[in-house]
Parts: sequence; structure tokens; C-alpha cells
Amino acid sequence: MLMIKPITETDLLLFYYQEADEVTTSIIQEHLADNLEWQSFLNELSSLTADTSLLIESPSSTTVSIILEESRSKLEQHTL
Amino acid sequence: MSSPIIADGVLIQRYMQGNQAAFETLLNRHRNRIFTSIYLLVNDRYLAEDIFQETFIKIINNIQAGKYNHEDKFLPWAMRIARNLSIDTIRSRKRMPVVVDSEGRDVFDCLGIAVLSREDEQINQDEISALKHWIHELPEEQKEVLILRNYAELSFKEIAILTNTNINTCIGRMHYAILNLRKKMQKNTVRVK
Repeated sequence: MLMIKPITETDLLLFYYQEADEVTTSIIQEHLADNLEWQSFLNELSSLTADTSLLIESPSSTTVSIILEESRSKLEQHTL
Repeated sequence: MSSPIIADGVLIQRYMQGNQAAFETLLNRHRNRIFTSIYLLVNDRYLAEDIFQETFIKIINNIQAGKYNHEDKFLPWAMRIARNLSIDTIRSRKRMPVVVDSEGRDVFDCLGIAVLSREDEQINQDEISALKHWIHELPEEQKEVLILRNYAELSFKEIAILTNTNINTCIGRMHYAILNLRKKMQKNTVRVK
């Protein structure tokens, strides 16, 4: 009898982030369409990731300018 | 036809050879990930700006001093610098008195919220603030893994090396962070749009 590795939420988590091993990935891919629990967990993960992406911030233009000025000045010092 | 993405290591080499534009590309590619990670770790926009600046000045100095190991990936290396500076800042801040306003709120937190409100006029600020608050309420280890995975986009293996833990511990912390956030969202019946 063929033994199928039991899939845990941790496996699903790794699958979502594309870090699961090949065997786990293929099991999940094969059975995902029939498994509502897995679909629900992965949908939750996906919506959570979408929500957290709303918090993405950018540094101010002043900070970026200071860094670029520093990188230019270091380059000049280095090439002199 | 779009031009192929130049690898971080190649950009660093070009910068070392005198190409300033290569450094600008590198900064633009990673600035939001690194800045957001710092911001969520220290929970203060102004401190985050300082730490971000200090992080990149260290990066510049290390690259120009030939201290960048080309076998390392740039982002985990940069995040190690950013994380260490953030932890140092959090530790030193804990020793400093907090300046509060008449209602007992940290004045710097109020400033941060004010800036964010202007920037995020199009989205529901209460819900964004709630999510930020819930992330900050997570236990430190869970919060750190969530930030490093979702914002800095490091792999669990890279996070394990950075935080000096094993990969299973990192995955476990991420799992609990997600369960805790889902619980808080369901409890407060808030959906962030």
C-alpha cells in the first residue's frame, strides 16, 4: 500500500512561501483541488500577506538623498 | 522588450569600479523592504529613517573597504546590519525616558501617525493602524520572523542564520504569528481592504 506523507499546516506554510521540498510540493499540488481545509488555510495566508503588504513604507526622499550623496562622496574618495 | 535584471552582486562590483548608477539601482531595489522591516521592528518612523540611513552608510563603507563577501546574498547581509542597528536602538531607547504629551502619549508616536495619515489618505487608516498594532502585540520572536519573511522577503533558512536559531524554530514562530494574527482579526472582525 502506498504511504502518503501527512500534510501539516507547517507544510502548507512552506508550500505557500515556495520553500517546501519537492515531495511535499507535489503531494499538495496533486490533492489541493479536493481539500477544502488546505484551500482555506492557503487562502487565509494569501489574504494575510495581502493585508500586511499594505503596511509597506518608503524612506523619505531626504534620507535617500543623504545616502546617495554619501555613496558618491565615498566613490570620489576611493577613486582619488 | 524589458532589460534583464542585473544581479545584486554585479551591481556591487560595478559600484566598486566607480559606477554610481549601479549603487542607485541597488538602493532603489531594496529600500522599501529594508525600510519597512526597520520601521516595524522599532515602531517609530523617525528612528527608522535614522537607522535606515546608518544601515546604508555602513553598507557603503563595507563595500568600499572590500568587506562585502560576494558569496553572500546582498539582502540577508544588509538585513543583518539593519537588524543589529534596530536591536541596539531598541535597547538604548528602553533606557531613555519617553517624552509624552498631555494625554500621556509618546510624542514621537503621534508625529509618526500624523505623517502616515497624510500619506495614506486613500485607505482606511483605522484598519491599517489596527493591523500594525496587532503585529506589534505579537511576541518579539514571532514578530521578527513575520517581518523578516513578509517584508524583508528572506527565506526561513536565511532568517534562521540571521537570528541564530534553527529553521524549524523559525517556521514554528511564523506559524504562531499567523495563527495569532488570524485570531486577532477574527476577534475584531476587521478586514483590511
